[in-house]
Parts: sequence; structure tokens; C-alpha cells
Amino acid sequence: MSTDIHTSSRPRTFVDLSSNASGYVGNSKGGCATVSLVGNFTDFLPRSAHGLSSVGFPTVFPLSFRFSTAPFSQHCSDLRSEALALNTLVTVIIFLVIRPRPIVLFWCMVCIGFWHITIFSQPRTQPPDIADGFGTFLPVLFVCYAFWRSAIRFVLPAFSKSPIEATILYLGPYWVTVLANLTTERIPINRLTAKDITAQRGGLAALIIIILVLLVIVINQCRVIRRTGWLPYYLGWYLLGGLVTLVLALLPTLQLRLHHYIIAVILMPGTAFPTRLSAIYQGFLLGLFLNGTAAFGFASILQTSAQVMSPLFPGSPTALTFLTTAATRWHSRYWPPEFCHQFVKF
Amino acid sequence: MQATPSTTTLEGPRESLEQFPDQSKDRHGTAFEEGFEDSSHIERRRSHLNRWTSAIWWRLESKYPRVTQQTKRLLLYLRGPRPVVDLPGSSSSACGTHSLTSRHAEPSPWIATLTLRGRTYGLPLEHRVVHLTRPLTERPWILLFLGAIYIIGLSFFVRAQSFLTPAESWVGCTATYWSANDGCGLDGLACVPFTDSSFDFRCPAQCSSAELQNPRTIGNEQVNFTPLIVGGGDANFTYRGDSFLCAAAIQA
Repeated sequence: MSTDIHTSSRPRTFVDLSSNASGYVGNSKGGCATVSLVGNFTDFLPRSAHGLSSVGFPTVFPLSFRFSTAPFSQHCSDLRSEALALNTLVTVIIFLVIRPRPIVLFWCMVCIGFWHITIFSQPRTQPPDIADGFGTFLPVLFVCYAFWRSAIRFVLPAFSKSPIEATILYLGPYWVTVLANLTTERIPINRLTAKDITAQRGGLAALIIIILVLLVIVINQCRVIRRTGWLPYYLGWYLLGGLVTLVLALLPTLQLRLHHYIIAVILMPGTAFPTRLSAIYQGFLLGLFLNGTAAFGFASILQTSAQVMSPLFPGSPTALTFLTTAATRWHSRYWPPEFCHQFVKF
Repeated sequence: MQATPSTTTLEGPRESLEQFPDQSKDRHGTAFEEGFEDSSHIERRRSHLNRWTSAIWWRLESKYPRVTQQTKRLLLYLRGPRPVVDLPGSSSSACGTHSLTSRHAEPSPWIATLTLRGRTYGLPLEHRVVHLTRPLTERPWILLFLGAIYIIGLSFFVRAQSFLTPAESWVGCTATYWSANDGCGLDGLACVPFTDSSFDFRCPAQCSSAELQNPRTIGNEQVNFTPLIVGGGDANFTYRGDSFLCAAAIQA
């Protein structure tokens, strides 16, 4: 789609200067603007600017809009990058400088990660609903204690004499998956259905790579566990869990949905062996768990097809982040609420 | 704790495996270790429960001696050492120090040290960090104090981030004026007014990555996995009503 013809020859108008360099609203900072409806408009021209390209529509449409600067423009910038810098720094300081006991260290990771997602990186509503956040926070603490009992207490204390290494091994993958909306969501797979995998370019290749990597990791972890003599114990319980999952998957009219927080819960006990790789896995899985629960809540493992399609039941690893009730609430100013969730089908 | 577990080769690990992992701590160095000898020894002991399975096993053994032998060897390999042990090959056990965790020994520090023929070279970086931060780690009230400062500071940060603009001005990245399919009803009557209406809004960051998840047809084109933006190419940057508001505002 060539859209550059229209923009390259277009003179820069004053409205471009009225806000920052990238449109009325920046991509990295967000921003405020005023939208005015102009009703009927004919011949919408395509355009490419600020990393986004639009589609042309060379005929009439009854509703169209234009932008102007908002009356309130202070406090409009989104400070999530600054918050990320702060929280990353704080976790690094706790790991490297303050160096509390391993269990305190672990709880610091849990709390900072959870609230970073709830307040800054993926708030469920805008402005973030603190009450709603605490509703998920307490069960999250409980599950994290199970993580500690079953896996983390065997690995994290082993690194208390090497704080630099612990910082790199734990915090690197931890922040990668705490920010899963920016990292793992780039992988072109949304849901594990045949239709979805082929829908995006590179989806199949990504899936094959993920399966191969996971296979190598699992086999290596089995090798490590075997050397300690715990393999039959772990294999037995994982087999039982697999059978239960199989039964769930076969239930009629329901779809098995392994949300990413569930995957973290499943895999975490298998990392209870103090190797460097286990430390990496634990950081990765803890971040994944926190991201899934903080951003989408404890979504059900079984969902109907309609729920999987509907944005009102998110929780998929790659469900649109900002499709929140704030958007819905704003929509209901114009439309009856039942239309609100139809604008994007997932 | 039973000192002499009665097991067969196949069902051998059952007794030890049904313990929780952490309970192995209690067993270390107790009479439990003495209960295990080599596999042929264990083989001779048959528990009351396992008599039936071992009868089948014995029958198979007499029929297919080679296959059962190999299977037995494989199963014994997969079972690993008895009693369960720490991860072998770690440096701390070689140094003679006790591991912190009961099940496993700790890995030796990697960064800036290199061990060759029993001698360690390089900067003892980790050791230096541990040494330098010891005054802080020995005083737990420092963490409490800094934690309180952090939480209070974060509260003001959150206020500046989210609570200083009108709550109703917030829109999501996928907010639109015109909904998909027949969401606006016949002649779009559910979406009126079309003109003379304005709205001050605030978009969050990273709206360029909020994309369609199902194909949408615009004129003779079909788009998917992209933010839905239609129009904007004219001098006034006019966008079609079903465009994503925030994505259009980024582009405008």
C-alpha cells in the first residue's frame, strides 16, 4: 500500500507543531487531544506517518472526526517508562546492595512486579482500579508462597554468595516477562488454534521454534533431576496433572485455555534444582505469572468459544492490553452498552 | 522413618518418592541411607503390596530375559541415585563447605573468576560486593525504612501518572466512535450525533501496538493485525469514524 504520495507533498501545517513531534498523541508517552466530529465526509485518503499507515476509503462515510489540542495538556504524559526505570533500579538495588534474606528478596520481586503491572504497564482500567488490584493481589501472594515452598527456596538461597550473578539470572528474565505485553506479545501467535497460528505471518515458524526450545529445556531439566534421583517423583505427578488436563480438554462445549499464568504455575515446580538455568527459568516464570494475573486476573482454564472470542473475557497471553472498561465506559456515552464490546473482535 | 524400605526393582522408589522434597533434609545422614544397598539386594525384598506386580515381572523375566534386563537397566537409570542426593559436581561440595539448601549444593560464582588446575584467577567481584554491602544486610531496619519511603514515593508517582486528569477523559487504545459490523444499527442511528460534538480525551502510551485481531474490510481492501486507521491523508487529517481514536491521534 503506497500512501507516501499524499504525505510527502503535503505542507506541514500548524497543528503538527502544536503538539509534540509525533502527532497529537505520542506513542511512547500517550497524551491528550480534543476530537471533533465532522459528520459526512467524502474521499478518505490513505497516509503513512509516525510509524502508522492508514487505509484509504474513496467514498462517503456518515461519521468522521478531526483533532485539535486539548484544553488540559498538563499531566497528560504517560510515565510508564519512568516507572519502569524506577522499579528496575529498585529491584537491582535490593538484589545487589541491600541483599535481604532470600525469602524477603522473593517477596520484594512479587510485590514490585505485581504493582508495576497493575498501576503502570497494563492497568485493567484507566485510571487503575486499586481496589480491583488488591482483589487479585492476595490470591497472588498465596500462589507465590506455593512457588517459594515448591521451587524458589531451593534455588534463590544458593546464590546468596554471588549477588551479581543472581541479579542477572533472576531479574533479566523476570523483567522480560513482567513486561510480557511488550516482549512475548511480539511473537506472532495469539491463541493456540489452527486458524490463529496461520493467521499471522511467521506464526507457524514461531510455534515450531517455541516447541523445540521448550523440548530442549524440558529434556535438559529431566537430565538434571535424574542426577538427584527425584525424576520418578516429578514425572509421576506431572503425568497425573497431564491426565487431569486431558480430561478437562475433552469436556464438551468448553475450550481448554492455558493462560500464561497457568503455564507458569505448571512449570514452576520443575525448576526446584539449583542450577543457573533453573534461576533463569524461575525469573521468567515468576514474571509470567505476575503478568498474567495482574493484567487479566485469574482467568478460567475452561472457557466457552464465545468467551474466547470476546474481549470482555481477556486473559489470553496476547489479548489487547488496553481494551479495558475505560474504553467501554467511554463508548457507552454514545451507544447502548451492549454495543460497546463489539468494536474489536478477538 | 523406616530404616529398611521393602521395595522391588520396579516399584523401588515408591517409599522415598511419596515424601515431599523438603523432607529429605531430615533423612540425610540418618539410618535411611543404610537401608539401601545395590539394586540386586533391593530386588530380593518384596513387599506385601508389590507381590502381585513382581510375580508378573518374574514371569516376563523368564520369558524375555534380554528385554527385561534392558528395561530394568533403563528404569534404574531413570530412577537415579538412592538415596536422593544433592546435585553432583558443584564446587561447594568439593571445597568441603556445607550447602545452604538441603537437597542441593550451590553453584560456584562464575563472574570474573576462573578456576584452572585448582587455582582461582581473576577479580573476586562477587566477594567484594558481598563484603561491601555487609553493613547494609546486617541491619534489617534499613530495608523497612527504604521500603516505607518507596511506597510513599510511589503513591505520589501514581497520582501524577493517573489521577490528575479527569477520569472520564481516559480512553483505551482501541476506542472508536463507530463500532464494527452493525454495531451502530440501521443508518448508524445508534451512534448519533455525527456532528457538532467534541470530546477531550487522554490516550495511554504504546497505542501503536493495539491491533485488530480479526480481518476488517474497508472498501476493496482487507486489513488485519494493524491498528485500524482509515483516512487522514487530507490537509485537515480527517479520519473515518471507525478508526482507532488513539492510533489516529498518533498519526495525525
